[in-house]
Amino acid sequence: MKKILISLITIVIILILDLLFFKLFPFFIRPNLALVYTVFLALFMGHIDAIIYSFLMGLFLDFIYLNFFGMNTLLFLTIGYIVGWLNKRVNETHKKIQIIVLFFSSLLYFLLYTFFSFIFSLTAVKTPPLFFSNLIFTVLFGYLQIKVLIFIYSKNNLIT
Amino acid sequence: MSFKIFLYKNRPTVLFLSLLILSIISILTSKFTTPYFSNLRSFFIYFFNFTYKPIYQIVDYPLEIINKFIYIPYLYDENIKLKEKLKQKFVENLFYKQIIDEMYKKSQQEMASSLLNFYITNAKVIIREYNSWYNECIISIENSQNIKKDSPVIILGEDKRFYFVGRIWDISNSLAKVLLITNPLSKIPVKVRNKPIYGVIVGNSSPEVTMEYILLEDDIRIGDVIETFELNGLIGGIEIGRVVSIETMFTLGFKKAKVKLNFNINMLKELVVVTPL
Repeated sequence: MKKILISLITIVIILILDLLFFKLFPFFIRPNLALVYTVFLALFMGHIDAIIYSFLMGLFLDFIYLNFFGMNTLLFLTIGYIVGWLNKRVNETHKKIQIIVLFFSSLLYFLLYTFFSFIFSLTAVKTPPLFFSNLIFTVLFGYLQIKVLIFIYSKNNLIT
Repeated sequence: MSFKIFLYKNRPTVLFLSLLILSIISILTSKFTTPYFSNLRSFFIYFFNFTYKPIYQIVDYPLEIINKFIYIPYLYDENIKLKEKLKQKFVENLFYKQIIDEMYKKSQQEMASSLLNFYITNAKVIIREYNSWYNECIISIENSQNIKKDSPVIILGEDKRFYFVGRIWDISNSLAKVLLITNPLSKIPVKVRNKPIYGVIVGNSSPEVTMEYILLEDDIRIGDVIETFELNGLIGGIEIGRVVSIETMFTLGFKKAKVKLNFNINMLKELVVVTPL
């Protein structure tokens, strides 16, 4: 119960911060907070939690942003599932592991986004140069975000 | 391995696949949205979206959401009142549209009159009995001052061209009887467009009329356009129809041509009466 509550509150806070960053920063210097949270869940909370909460995160993002509905749901669900396989297989507390996983998750996010955009014939495709700039900021900010999330979850005895 | 054990062992994959199907369905609903789905989306956008706001107002975001929820009953009342007002405005709009249409017609009529040196009066068919469907009809005229007996009556066809319908037979106040071109008693002097071929159109109580008294040596052909001929006060050049068949009557010394009207004589609603200025 505590885990569900804290996860939902975290999702709401991340959505608010994401909208705030959406206002403050252009795409190429805006970190992908929702993606970082998905990676955190996958590494620390477990495969099933990663799938469920990343699905919810994607769904809320789709409702709030006036984009192609279902796109974020599909992307975050897929990333949550793929990265979730690393749970209990890597040392998630090691900072190098966290940075590498963040990096490859962002890359995977970009590839999946391009692929689904191609399949559903969307025109808002993010170009590689802009994307790599976004990736750097996601990794840098995401590392700090993971530290904050570890602190919050460990304070509530949800992770060791 | 039983199915239950298989599901238990592959819980993440099973969960992923089921949620994947849900997300694909949600993508497909973007293309085929239902009212319930779009209402749900509107609910979330209205209550939680503030991407349209300037940055300094975002700090009010939590209070604004609470305020929006509090105002839901007021919104419901307002919605009902607005719907009623909208209905009223819609009816008023129809009424004003009608007035504007009539004023536009009048102005067109005056413009056409000044250009063509004819006085044009709008008329509406009000009575057309089934036993004299192709013979006559009663029209109501806005201003019957300048209307005379035998004034030509024309119609604006679907191709935005005028066609000859008949002549005024009788006038009384703002009503007039029109002798239609398809009436056997109607005999209109006509000619073939761009050819010196003359004849008389006689009605057959059907949508096809007959052009009679065509000379044997006249080169009338199928497809020729028939128009009125300026004679006995009738205005010339108003199109009637096209020749569909030709019959040579050697014994009588004339040809006969069947002419199909270029307009739908069954759909007479708004007519125009033309009189010289």
